[in-house]
Amino acid sequence: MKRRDFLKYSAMGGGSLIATVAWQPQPAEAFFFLGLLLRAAGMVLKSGLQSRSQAWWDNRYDAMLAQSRLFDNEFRRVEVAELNNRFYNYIAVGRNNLDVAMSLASNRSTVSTFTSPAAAGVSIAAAYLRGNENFYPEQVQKAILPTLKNQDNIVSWNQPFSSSSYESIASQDGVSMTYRLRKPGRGGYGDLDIVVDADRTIRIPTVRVNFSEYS
Amino acid sequence: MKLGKIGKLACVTLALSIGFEGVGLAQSRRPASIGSLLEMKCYGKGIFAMNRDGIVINRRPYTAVGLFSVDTSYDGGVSADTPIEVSCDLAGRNRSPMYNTLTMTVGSNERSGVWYSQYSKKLRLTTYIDGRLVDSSEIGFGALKRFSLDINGSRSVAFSVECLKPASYEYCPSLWILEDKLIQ
Repeated sequence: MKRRDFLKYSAMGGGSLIATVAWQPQPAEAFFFLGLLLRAAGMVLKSGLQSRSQAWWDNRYDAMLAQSRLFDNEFRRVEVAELNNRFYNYIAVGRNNLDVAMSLASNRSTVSTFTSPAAAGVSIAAAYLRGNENFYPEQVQKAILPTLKNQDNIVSWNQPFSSSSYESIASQDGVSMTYRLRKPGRGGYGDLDIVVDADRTIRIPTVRVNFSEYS
Repeated sequence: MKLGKIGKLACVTLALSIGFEGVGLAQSRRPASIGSLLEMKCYGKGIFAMNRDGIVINRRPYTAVGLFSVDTSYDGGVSADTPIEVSCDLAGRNRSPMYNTLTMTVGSNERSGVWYSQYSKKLRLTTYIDGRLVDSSEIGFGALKRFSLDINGSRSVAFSVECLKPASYEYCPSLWILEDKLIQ
Protein backbone atom coordinates (compact mmCIF):
# COMPACT_ATOMS: atom_id res chain seq x y z
CA MET A 1 0.00 0.00 0.00
CA LYS A 2 1.30 3.40 -0.93
CA ARG A 3 1.90 5.94 1.81
CA ARG A 4 -0.76 8.29 0.43
CA ASP A 5 -3.43 5.50 0.37
CA PHE A 6 -2.46 4.42 3.90
CA LEU A 7 -2.99 7.95 5.18
CA LYS A 8 -6.36 8.21 3.37
CA TYR A 9 -7.78 4.92 4.68
CA SER A 10 -6.51 5.42 8.21
CA ALA A 11 -8.13 8.88 8.31
CA MET A 12 -11.44 7.40 7.11
CA GLY A 13 -11.29 4.60 9.67
CA GLY A 14 -10.43 6.99 12.47
CA GLY A 15 -13.26 9.32 11.51
CA SER A 16 -15.86 6.57 11.49
CA LEU A 17 -14.63 5.25 14.87
CA ILE A 18 -15.00 8.71 16.43
CA ALA A 19 -18.47 9.09 14.90
CA THR A 20 -19.57 5.72 16.30
CA VAL A 21 -18.28 6.49 19.79
CA ALA A 22 -19.69 10.02 19.86
CA TRP A 23 -23.17 9.22 18.47
CA GLN A 24 -24.92 6.34 20.17
CA PRO A 25 -28.62 7.16 20.21
CA GLN A 26 -30.83 5.46 22.76
CA PRO A 27 -33.62 3.40 21.13
CA ALA A 28 -36.40 5.77 22.27
CA GLU A 29 -34.54 8.87 21.04
CA ALA A 30 -33.72 7.16 17.78
CA PHE A 31 -37.37 6.36 17.06
CA PHE A 32 -38.42 9.91 17.93
CA PHE A 33 -35.72 11.33 15.68
CA LEU A 34 -36.57 8.92 12.86
CA GLY A 35 -40.25 9.85 13.15
CA LEU A 36 -39.53 13.57 12.81
CA LEU A 37 -37.18 12.98 9.92
CA LEU A 38 -39.79 10.94 8.05
CA ARG A 39 -42.42 13.59 8.77
CA ALA A 40 -40.23 16.37 7.36
CA ALA A 41 -39.34 14.27 4.31
CA GLY A 42 -43.02 13.49 3.78
CA MET A 43 -43.90 17.17 3.80
CA VAL A 44 -41.21 18.03 1.30
CA LEU A 45 -42.45 15.25 -0.97
CA LYS A 46 -46.08 16.28 -0.48
CA SER A 47 -45.47 19.93 -1.28
CA GLY A 48 -43.17 19.15 -4.18
CA LEU A 49 -44.95 16.29 -5.86
CA GLN A 50 -48.59 15.92 -4.86
CA SER A 51 -50.10 19.20 -3.81
CA ARG A 52 -48.35 22.50 -4.39
CA SER A 53 -47.90 25.10 -1.69
CA GLN A 54 -50.28 28.04 -1.32
CA ALA A 55 -47.39 30.33 -2.27
CA TRP A 56 -47.05 28.48 -5.61
CA TRP A 57 -50.76 28.88 -6.35
CA ASP A 58 -50.69 32.55 -5.36
CA ASN A 59 -47.71 33.16 -7.58
CA ARG A 60 -49.47 31.43 -10.49
CA TYR A 61 -52.66 33.41 -9.84
CA ASP A 62 -50.77 36.73 -9.88
CA ALA A 63 -49.02 35.76 -13.12
CA MET A 64 -52.36 34.81 -14.67
CA LEU A 65 -53.98 38.13 -13.69
CA ALA A 66 -51.04 40.18 -14.98
CA GLN A 67 -51.13 38.33 -18.30
CA SER A 68 -54.90 38.65 -18.43
CA ARG A 69 -54.59 42.44 -18.26
CA LEU A 70 -52.21 42.38 -21.20
CA PHE A 71 -54.68 40.28 -23.16
CA ASP A 72 -57.47 42.68 -22.20
CA ASN A 73 -55.57 45.44 -23.96
CA GLU A 74 -54.46 43.44 -26.96
CA PHE A 75 -57.65 41.58 -27.65
CA ARG A 76 -59.83 44.64 -27.32
CA ARG A 77 -59.02 45.52 -30.88
CA VAL A 78 -59.76 41.98 -32.03
CA GLU A 79 -63.00 41.85 -30.10
CA VAL A 80 -64.28 44.96 -31.77
CA ALA A 81 -63.64 43.27 -35.07
CA GLU A 82 -65.37 40.09 -33.93
CA LEU A 83 -68.55 41.52 -32.53
CA ASN A 84 -70.66 38.94 -34.29
CA ASN A 85 -69.00 36.20 -32.32
CA ARG A 86 -71.16 35.74 -29.25
CA PHE A 87 -68.19 34.69 -27.15
CA TYR A 88 -66.43 38.04 -27.51
CA ASN A 89 -68.75 40.08 -25.39
CA TYR A 90 -66.35 42.56 -23.82
CA ILE A 91 -67.03 45.20 -26.35
CA ALA A 92 -70.44 44.32 -27.62
CA VAL A 93 -73.10 46.65 -28.81
CA GLY A 94 -75.63 44.19 -27.42
CA ARG A 95 -74.34 44.55 -23.91
CA ASN A 96 -73.05 48.08 -24.38
CA ASN A 97 -69.99 47.41 -22.33
CA LEU A 98 -66.41 48.37 -22.92
CA ASP A 99 -63.71 47.53 -20.41
CA VAL A 100 -60.89 49.99 -20.05
CA ALA A 101 -57.66 49.37 -18.19
CA MET A 102 -57.26 52.16 -15.68
CA SER A 103 -54.44 53.03 -13.37
CA LEU A 104 -54.48 55.42 -10.42
CA ALA A 105 -51.39 57.57 -10.03
CA SER A 106 -51.13 59.89 -7.01
CA ASN A 107 -54.91 59.94 -6.50
CA ARG A 108 -55.49 61.30 -9.96
CA SER A 109 -57.08 58.89 -12.37
CA THR A 110 -55.43 58.31 -15.68
CA VAL A 111 -56.72 55.90 -18.22
CA SER A 112 -54.16 53.82 -20.01
CA THR A 113 -55.46 51.99 -23.00
CA PHE A 114 -54.64 51.43 -26.61
CA THR A 115 -58.11 52.49 -27.54
CA SER A 116 -59.26 56.11 -27.51
CA PRO A 117 -63.00 56.85 -27.30
CA ALA A 118 -62.90 57.94 -30.94
CA ALA A 119 -61.21 54.72 -32.10
CA ALA A 120 -63.53 52.59 -29.98
CA GLY A 121 -66.51 54.59 -31.18
CA VAL A 122 -65.57 54.19 -34.84
CA SER A 123 -65.07 50.44 -34.41
CA ILE A 124 -68.34 50.02 -32.54
CA ALA A 125 -70.17 52.12 -35.10
CA ALA A 126 -68.71 50.03 -37.93
CA ALA A 127 -69.75 46.77 -36.29
CA TYR A 128 -73.19 48.13 -35.47
CA LEU A 129 -73.89 49.33 -38.99
CA ARG A 130 -72.74 46.03 -40.41
CA GLY A 131 -74.56 43.86 -37.89
CA ASN A 132 -77.77 45.77 -37.21
CA GLU A 133 -78.32 47.98 -40.22
CA ASN A 134 -77.11 45.56 -42.90
CA PHE A 135 -74.66 48.05 -44.38
CA TYR A 136 -72.20 46.80 -46.96
CA PRO A 137 -68.53 47.30 -46.00
CA GLU A 138 -68.26 50.07 -48.56
CA GLN A 139 -71.27 51.87 -47.08
CA VAL A 140 -69.80 51.45 -43.58
CA GLN A 141 -66.56 52.94 -44.76
CA LYS A 142 -68.28 55.92 -46.31
CA ALA A 143 -70.48 56.45 -43.26
CA ILE A 144 -67.82 56.45 -40.59
CA LEU A 145 -64.40 57.26 -42.03
CA PRO A 146 -63.48 60.89 -41.35
CA THR A 147 -62.35 63.20 -44.10
CA LEU A 148 -58.73 64.31 -43.88
CA LYS A 149 -59.31 67.73 -42.34
CA ASN A 150 -61.00 66.26 -39.26
CA GLN A 151 -58.35 63.81 -38.13
CA ASP A 152 -56.97 65.88 -35.27
CA ASN A 153 -60.32 66.20 -33.57
CA ILE A 154 -60.28 63.38 -31.03
CA VAL A 155 -62.46 62.61 -28.04
CA SER A 156 -60.42 61.89 -24.93
CA TRP A 157 -60.92 59.60 -21.93
CA ASN A 158 -59.18 62.11 -19.71
CA GLN A 159 -61.85 64.80 -19.90
CA PRO A 160 -65.02 64.43 -17.80
CA PHE A 161 -66.97 65.49 -20.87
CA SER A 162 -65.83 65.63 -24.42
CA SER A 163 -67.77 65.78 -27.61
CA SER A 164 -66.69 65.72 -31.20
CA SER A 165 -68.17 65.34 -34.61
CA TYR A 166 -66.60 64.95 -37.99
CA GLU A 167 -67.60 64.95 -41.59
CA SER A 168 -67.61 61.57 -43.24
CA ILE A 169 -67.34 60.63 -46.88
CA ALA A 170 -71.07 59.92 -46.98
CA SER A 171 -72.40 62.93 -45.10
CA GLN A 172 -71.50 66.40 -43.87
CA ASP A 173 -73.04 65.63 -40.51
CA GLY A 174 -70.92 62.50 -40.44
CA VAL A 175 -70.33 60.99 -37.04
CA SER A 176 -70.71 62.62 -33.67
CA MET A 177 -69.42 61.18 -30.44
CA THR A 178 -69.93 62.24 -26.87
CA TYR A 179 -68.10 60.80 -23.95
CA ARG A 180 -69.28 61.52 -20.42
CA LEU A 181 -67.42 60.41 -17.33
CA ARG A 182 -70.15 59.23 -14.92
CA LYS A 183 -68.24 57.73 -12.01
CA PRO A 184 -64.51 58.44 -11.92
CA GLY A 185 -61.80 56.16 -10.50
CA ARG A 186 -61.40 52.44 -10.17
CA GLY A 187 -64.55 50.48 -10.76
CA GLY A 188 -66.18 53.60 -12.20
CA TYR A 189 -67.67 54.10 -15.61
CA GLY A 190 -68.46 56.53 -18.39
CA ASP A 191 -70.91 56.61 -21.30
CA LEU A 192 -70.07 56.89 -24.97
CA ASP A 193 -72.82 58.03 -27.34
CA ILE A 194 -72.36 57.70 -31.08
CA VAL A 195 -74.62 59.07 -33.77
CA VAL A 196 -73.94 58.26 -37.42
CA ASP A 197 -75.52 60.19 -40.22
CA ALA A 198 -75.46 58.22 -43.46
CA ASP A 199 -78.59 58.00 -45.62
CA ARG A 200 -80.44 58.59 -42.36
CA THR A 201 -79.53 59.28 -38.74
CA ILE A 202 -78.55 56.18 -36.81
CA ARG A 203 -78.27 56.48 -33.07
CA ILE A 204 -76.15 53.69 -31.66
CA PRO A 205 -77.24 52.54 -28.18
CA THR A 206 -75.10 54.10 -25.44
CA VAL A 207 -71.90 52.19 -24.76
CA ARG A 208 -71.13 51.91 -21.07
CA VAL A 209 -67.37 52.14 -20.50
CA ASN A 210 -66.41 50.22 -17.37
CA PHE A 211 -63.10 51.03 -15.74
CA SER A 212 -61.10 48.13 -14.45
CA GLU A 213 -61.14 47.70 -10.67
CA TYR A 214 -57.53 46.56 -10.68
CA SER A 215 -54.58 48.35 -12.09
CA MET B 1 -32.33 20.93 30.68
CA LYS B 2 -29.52 19.50 28.65
CA LEU B 3 -30.57 18.48 25.17
CA GLY B 4 -27.53 16.68 23.84
CA LYS B 5 -26.73 16.11 20.19
CA ILE B 6 -29.82 14.05 19.44
CA GLY B 7 -32.06 16.59 21.13
CA LYS B 8 -30.59 19.43 19.13
CA LEU B 9 -30.98 17.51 15.88
CA ALA B 10 -34.58 16.71 16.78
CA CYS B 11 -35.28 20.39 17.47
CA VAL B 12 -33.84 21.43 14.11
CA THR B 13 -35.92 18.78 12.31
CA LEU B 14 -39.06 19.85 14.17
CA ALA B 15 -38.43 23.50 13.29
CA LEU B 16 -37.95 22.52 9.66
CA SER B 17 -41.17 20.54 9.55
CA ILE B 18 -43.14 23.39 11.14
CA GLY B 19 -41.55 25.71 8.58
CA PHE B 20 -42.82 23.59 5.70
CA GLU B 21 -46.32 23.69 7.14
CA GLY B 22 -46.09 27.47 7.47
CA VAL B 23 -45.61 27.80 3.71
CA GLY B 24 -48.91 26.03 3.14
CA LEU B 25 -50.79 28.35 5.48
CA ALA B 26 -49.64 31.56 3.81
CA GLN B 27 -52.57 33.44 2.28
CA SER B 28 -52.25 36.20 -0.26
CA ARG B 29 -54.57 39.15 -0.73
CA ARG B 30 -56.73 38.20 -3.68
CA PRO B 31 -59.68 39.99 -5.17
CA ALA B 32 -62.65 37.84 -4.13
CA SER B 33 -64.46 38.40 -7.39
CA ILE B 34 -61.77 36.79 -9.56
CA GLY B 35 -60.88 33.12 -9.48
CA SER B 36 -58.90 30.65 -11.52
CA LEU B 37 -60.48 27.66 -13.26
CA LEU B 38 -57.58 25.30 -12.60
CA GLU B 39 -57.89 25.94 -8.88
CA MET B 40 -61.31 24.27 -9.09
CA LYS B 41 -61.56 20.49 -9.21
CA CYS B 42 -60.95 19.10 -12.69
CA TYR B 43 -61.52 15.48 -13.64
CA GLY B 44 -60.12 13.45 -16.50
CA LYS B 45 -56.61 13.03 -17.81
CA GLY B 46 -54.75 15.69 -19.69
CA ILE B 47 -55.19 19.05 -17.93
CA PHE B 48 -52.47 20.38 -15.66
CA ALA B 49 -52.02 23.58 -13.64
CA MET B 50 -48.61 25.11 -14.05
CA ASN B 51 -46.67 28.31 -13.69
CA ARG B 52 -44.02 28.28 -16.36
CA ASP B 53 -42.40 31.29 -17.98
CA GLY B 54 -40.93 31.40 -21.45
CA ILE B 55 -43.60 29.62 -23.47
CA VAL B 56 -43.00 31.05 -26.91
CA ILE B 57 -45.99 31.35 -29.22
CA ASN B 58 -45.60 33.21 -32.48
CA ARG B 59 -42.19 34.48 -31.32
CA ARG B 60 -43.59 36.04 -28.13
CA PRO B 61 -42.91 34.62 -24.67
CA TYR B 62 -45.83 34.02 -22.32
CA THR B 63 -46.39 32.49 -18.91
CA ALA B 64 -48.31 29.24 -19.11
CA VAL B 65 -50.70 28.72 -16.19
CA GLY B 66 -51.94 25.39 -17.47
CA LEU B 67 -51.57 22.77 -20.14
CA PHE B 68 -53.70 20.38 -22.17
CA SER B 69 -51.36 17.49 -22.88
CA VAL B 70 -50.87 13.76 -22.42
CA ASP B 71 -48.31 14.57 -19.72
CA THR B 72 -46.47 17.49 -18.16
CA SER B 73 -43.18 17.03 -19.97
CA TYR B 74 -42.12 20.10 -21.93
CA ASP B 75 -44.28 19.17 -24.87
CA GLY B 76 -46.10 15.94 -24.32
CA GLY B 77 -48.54 16.67 -27.13
CA VAL B 78 -52.09 15.62 -27.88
CA SER B 79 -52.55 12.13 -29.23
CA ALA B 80 -54.37 11.78 -32.55
CA ASP B 81 -56.01 8.57 -31.36
CA THR B 82 -57.35 9.82 -28.06
CA PRO B 83 -58.68 13.33 -27.59
CA ILE B 84 -58.15 14.93 -24.20
CA GLU B 85 -61.43 15.05 -22.31
CA VAL B 86 -61.63 16.95 -19.03
CA SER B 87 -64.41 18.40 -16.90
CA CYS B 88 -64.10 21.01 -14.19
CA ASP B 89 -66.46 21.71 -11.29
CA LEU B 90 -67.51 25.34 -11.13
CA ALA B 91 -69.18 24.87 -7.76
CA GLY B 92 -68.41 22.45 -4.96
CA ARG B 93 -70.93 19.94 -3.69
CA ASN B 94 -73.95 21.63 -2.06
CA ARG B 95 -72.70 25.05 -3.10
CA SER B 96 -74.23 27.44 -5.58
CA PRO B 97 -72.07 28.57 -8.50
CA MET B 98 -70.37 31.88 -7.72
CA TYR B 99 -68.87 32.95 -11.06
CA ASN B 100 -70.55 34.52 -14.09
CA THR B 101 -67.84 34.57 -16.75
CA LEU B 102 -64.93 32.36 -17.71
CA THR B 103 -62.28 34.01 -19.87
CA MET B 104 -59.64 31.73 -21.31
CA THR B 105 -56.68 32.26 -23.59
CA VAL B 106 -55.00 29.22 -25.12
CA GLY B 107 -52.32 28.76 -27.71
CA SER B 108 -50.05 26.23 -29.25
CA ASN B 109 -46.39 26.70 -29.96
CA GLU B 110 -45.64 26.30 -33.64
CA ARG B 111 -41.97 25.75 -32.99
CA SER B 112 -42.12 23.10 -30.32
CA GLY B 113 -41.51 19.85 -32.10
CA VAL B 114 -41.17 20.95 -35.69
CA TRP B 115 -42.20 17.51 -36.88
CA TYR B 116 -45.59 17.94 -35.23
CA SER B 117 -46.56 21.00 -37.18
CA GLN B 118 -45.28 19.57 -40.43
CA TYR B 119 -47.70 16.70 -40.35
CA SER B 120 -50.61 17.56 -38.13
CA LYS B 121 -52.78 20.40 -39.29
CA LYS B 122 -54.64 21.77 -36.33
CA LEU B 123 -56.05 21.29 -32.87
CA ARG B 124 -59.76 21.51 -32.20
CA LEU B 125 -60.97 22.79 -28.86
CA THR B 126 -64.59 22.01 -28.04
CA THR B 127 -66.20 23.53 -24.96
CA TYR B 128 -69.26 22.33 -23.07
CA ILE B 129 -71.15 24.06 -20.26
CA ASP B 130 -73.22 21.77 -18.08
CA GLY B 131 -72.82 19.18 -20.82
CA ARG B 132 -74.12 21.48 -23.59
CA LEU B 133 -71.82 22.15 -26.52
CA VAL B 134 -71.19 25.90 -26.64
CA ASP B 135 -68.15 26.30 -28.87
CA SER B 136 -65.97 24.27 -31.16
CA SER B 137 -63.12 25.92 -32.96
CA GLU B 138 -59.90 24.98 -34.66
CA ILE B 139 -56.67 26.41 -33.36
CA GLY B 140 -53.71 26.73 -35.69
CA PHE B 141 -50.19 26.42 -34.39
CA GLY B 142 -48.66 29.71 -33.36
CA ALA B 143 -52.04 31.37 -32.83
CA LEU B 144 -53.74 32.45 -29.63
CA LYS B 145 -57.42 31.99 -29.01
CA ARG B 146 -59.19 34.03 -26.39
CA PHE B 147 -62.81 33.45 -25.51
CA SER B 148 -65.29 34.40 -22.82
CA LEU B 149 -68.09 32.10 -21.75
CA ASP B 150 -71.21 33.00 -19.86
CA ILE B 151 -71.22 30.52 -16.97
CA ASN B 152 -73.82 32.25 -14.83
CA GLY B 153 -75.64 29.53 -12.86
CA SER B 154 -73.60 26.75 -14.50
CA ARG B 155 -72.04 23.97 -12.46
CA SER B 156 -69.45 22.59 -14.86
CA VAL B 157 -67.32 23.34 -17.88
CA ALA B 158 -65.76 20.61 -20.00
CA PHE B 159 -63.16 20.64 -22.75
CA SER B 160 -62.24 18.28 -25.51
CA VAL B 161 -58.93 18.80 -27.32
CA GLU B 162 -58.48 16.88 -30.57
CA CYS B 163 -55.48 16.57 -32.83
CA LEU B 164 -56.74 16.94 -36.42
CA LYS B 165 -55.37 15.31 -39.55
CA PRO B 166 -52.02 13.99 -38.49
CA ALA B 167 -50.80 12.54 -41.80
CA SER B 168 -47.94 10.45 -40.57
CA TYR B 169 -47.26 11.47 -37.00
CA GLU B 170 -49.56 10.58 -34.18
CA TYR B 171 -49.32 13.67 -31.96
CA CYS B 172 -50.16 17.37 -32.13
CA PRO B 173 -48.32 19.93 -29.98
CA SER B 174 -49.75 20.56 -26.52
CA LEU B 175 -52.23 23.36 -25.96
CA TRP B 176 -50.97 25.86 -23.40
CA ILE B 177 -53.41 27.70 -21.14
CA LEU B 178 -52.33 31.31 -20.70
CA GLU B 179 -55.40 32.59 -18.87
CA ASP B 180 -58.18 30.81 -16.94
CA LYS B 181 -59.96 33.72 -15.28
CA LEU B 182 -63.28 33.29 -13.52
CA ILE B 183 -65.18 36.51 -12.85
CA GLN B 184 -68.13 36.98 -10.52
